[in-house]
Amino acid sequence: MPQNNQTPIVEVSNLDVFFNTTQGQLHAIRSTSWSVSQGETLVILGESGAGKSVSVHAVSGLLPSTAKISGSIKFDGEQILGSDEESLRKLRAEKIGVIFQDPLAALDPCFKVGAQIAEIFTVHRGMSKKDAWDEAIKLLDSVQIPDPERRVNQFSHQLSGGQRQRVVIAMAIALSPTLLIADEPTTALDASVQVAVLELIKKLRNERKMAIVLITHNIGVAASIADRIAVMYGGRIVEIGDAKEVLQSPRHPYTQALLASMPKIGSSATERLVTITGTPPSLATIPGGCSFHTRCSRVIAKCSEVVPEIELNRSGSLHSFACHNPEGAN
Amino acid sequence: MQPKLAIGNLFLGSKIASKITPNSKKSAFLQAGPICLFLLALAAILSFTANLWVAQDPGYQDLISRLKPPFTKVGELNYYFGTDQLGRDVFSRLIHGGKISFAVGLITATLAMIIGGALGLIAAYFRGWQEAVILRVVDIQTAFPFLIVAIAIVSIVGSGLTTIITTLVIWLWTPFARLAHAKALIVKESEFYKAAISSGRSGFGLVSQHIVPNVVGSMMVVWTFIVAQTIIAESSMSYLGLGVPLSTPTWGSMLSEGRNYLENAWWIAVFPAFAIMLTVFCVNVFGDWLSDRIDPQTKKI
Amino acid sequence: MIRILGSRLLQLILVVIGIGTLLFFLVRVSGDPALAIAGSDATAENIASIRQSLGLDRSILEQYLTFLQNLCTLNFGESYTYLLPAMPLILAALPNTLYLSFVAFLLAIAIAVPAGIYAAVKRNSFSGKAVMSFSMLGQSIPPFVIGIFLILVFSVWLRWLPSFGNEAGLSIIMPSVALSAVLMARYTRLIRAYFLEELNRGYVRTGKSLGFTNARIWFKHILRNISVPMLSLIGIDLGKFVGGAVIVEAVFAWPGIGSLMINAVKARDYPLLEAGVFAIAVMVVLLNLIVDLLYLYIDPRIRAKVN
Repeated sequence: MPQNNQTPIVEVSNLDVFFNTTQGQLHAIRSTSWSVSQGETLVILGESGAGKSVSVHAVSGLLPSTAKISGSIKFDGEQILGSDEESLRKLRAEKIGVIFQDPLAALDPCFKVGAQIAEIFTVHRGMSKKDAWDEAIKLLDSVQIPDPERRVNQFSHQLSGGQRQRVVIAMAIALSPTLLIADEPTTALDASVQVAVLELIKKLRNERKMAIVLITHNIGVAASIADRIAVMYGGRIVEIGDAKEVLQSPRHPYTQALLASMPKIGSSATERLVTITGTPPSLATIPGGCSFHTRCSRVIAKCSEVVPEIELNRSGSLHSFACHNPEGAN
Repeated sequence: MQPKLAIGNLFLGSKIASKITPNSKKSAFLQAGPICLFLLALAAILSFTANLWVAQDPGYQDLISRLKPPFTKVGELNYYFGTDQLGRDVFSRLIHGGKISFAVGLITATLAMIIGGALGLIAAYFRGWQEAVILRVVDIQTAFPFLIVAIAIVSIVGSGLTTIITTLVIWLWTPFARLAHAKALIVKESEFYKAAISSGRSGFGLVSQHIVPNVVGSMMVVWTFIVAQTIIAESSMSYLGLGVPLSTPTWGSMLSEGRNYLENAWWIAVFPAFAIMLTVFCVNVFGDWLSDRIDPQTKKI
Repeated sequence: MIRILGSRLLQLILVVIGIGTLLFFLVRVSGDPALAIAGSDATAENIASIRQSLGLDRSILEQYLTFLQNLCTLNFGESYTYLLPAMPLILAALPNTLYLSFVAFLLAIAIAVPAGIYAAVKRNSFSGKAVMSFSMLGQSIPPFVIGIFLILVFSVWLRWLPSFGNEAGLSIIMPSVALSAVLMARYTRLIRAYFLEELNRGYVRTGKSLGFTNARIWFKHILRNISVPMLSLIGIDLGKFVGGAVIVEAVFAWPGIGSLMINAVKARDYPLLEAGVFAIAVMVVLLNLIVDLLYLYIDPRIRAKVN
């Protein structure tokens, strides 16, 4: 749970991300603001193409060189937007760990998994090869891979999907980062393994008191791990707040529709699934005004013209959303 | 013909045609590829018509005027590129020599494409033992330094235009076979091919209508690169004295003769060296341009 | 592992027998070798006795069987020019050719790797594109033409380097540069292409997220990953490379197998020629075998399948 008197680990304000493409400049992320504190888990929830990954990877500096970022990104109180590549690299090495979606692609097929983990220690901690490999074995153990002495000598193609993701997690937390970014960590895994991996992330979070930003489109995952949830649509955050509140009493029509569309265990087979009409826009074709207005059941005239503002508190559980016509409004 | 197949073929034809039409962004003719093609065509035409416009006889020896540097004028005669050790006009020999290079290049590559392509298609169409044998031969031949065998063959059998062309074709049919085979296999997996089979088409008609159009484009790209390789191979062999008979001037033989005169008559070797270099370069640039448009994967072969 | 060895062995046998047979019949078909040895002013008796000593008076089948038998014992007869056993002559010249080929190959790789990576990383800049244009040029100039230009500049004009034979230590420089140029150019382009493909792969992103420097990602991880497809292409190139070595040896009068064989060709010295072709065939197949084994070592996925 968040400790209220500290500066947040990450504080993003009015972040805009533009991409230079052959078709001109793409305004991908629009004025998003969020923060996450030590020990807190923020889940960025939304459909594919909503800009979740882009807005988070802007923090770690992992966006392609065609990206232009403006706004403010503070890490541990310090402004890091505009830092040079070398400082960002050091930040990524020491303070940030990242878990990506596809564990097989994330590992180098030509090296043993032990070697890839050991490399982190030999490069960043100056350890000897032997010590580094010992650390690797210890790490594999801490991410609950059975028989780590044997596994450490294997290649990524010899491991199962779940084991590979555990290795990726091990690499991400090897140097005890203060921030862990998890980009759809369970999406590529079998359903049975997803729960285990999620539990592992929770366990590590509790042990190491990391701040976690987890990106997902899966409401179940969000519900399972989030302290706070930020819902993104069309490159903007449309709702953000304490996880329980957002899930139980969503205020933004998109969040409401999203939650309603989830099939519920126990509902009868003949009940129709609730869907949201239309399809999510690509980041290149976001409608003017409120990005959701073309699919919203509560749309009014103002929605197509003016972008609704979101009211945010820095950290804490205040529930904020951006809508001109929320339920119960007058 | 059933509408589905007709559409399939139209689609293929337009696919090839649209691949060759240049980008609308840049002017079609100012790109490196077409320029090189134009230069090559010009050079080839000039070479083949050498008898019509080149003043000097390439074989005429004037020992008094031997080893004269470029731009010498002896009486009425203009030796633009100088004379060689036997008093022959280098410029004239250069232009006439181009005949051999272009002729051998074009003929060899075309024959190799036809033979190699046919064998590749046979291997892909029938599968079975035909495929096994043909692919094995391709493998063995590809690994082996055929230049050595070519040298041996030509030295034993004797030099001559047909020998050279035959030997080079035997050397160079393999990349065509491999490509045709690979592409044909891909076509065989496609929907409209299977549709054609199920409607009873078979044999030559099937292959020529469905497989060949898909293969032709990439074959053209490889053809260009093989022309380059052939020119290099032919000039290498002429350099070693194994090309066409020594009375005909070739760039390779001029180079070999000029090697001994680099000290005092560099022009004998340098002009044919540039000729070979520029010709092959233009062919490669054109081939590169072509492959960007038709099938970028072929560059890796 | 055994399958690879067996397959290469089979290839070796097929190649050797195939080429040997080809040469055998060509030699007999294109004229009487006894005549070639005896010379134009020999008497009929001379020719007949030479023919007998070469065994040319026996039936074709007998000759072919003898030929195959000799093949197994590496007996290629005596060189007509040197009047010494052919195969030992070839073997004596082999080290020089290997020396030249090895140096040229190392040179090609040593330049192509950094050049290719540079061209990939700086692909949008002028210098990156310049590298690509240069390599396109390099690929277009046959080794013997490069040799001529090198001799002109470094031997004739500058007088820095010797242009004939292998007398001085410096003699290796020009021949190896000439031989390596085409390969260098080709590999530069290929490395650039493969490198660019790898840049999109997941483990590159992982490396960046772990805070590794670009240099580490490029030279340790990407290079390792592209060495697999590169190796298979190198294997295919070996044949052409050996051919190029022969020509370069001719240009520089480098005392290796190539020079020996060129002279054998000119003198119609068939035993020497056959011995040379055989030696080269064996060498190429062995090199291919080494490439296969290296492949096995470098790519763990293939190793797993084999085991």
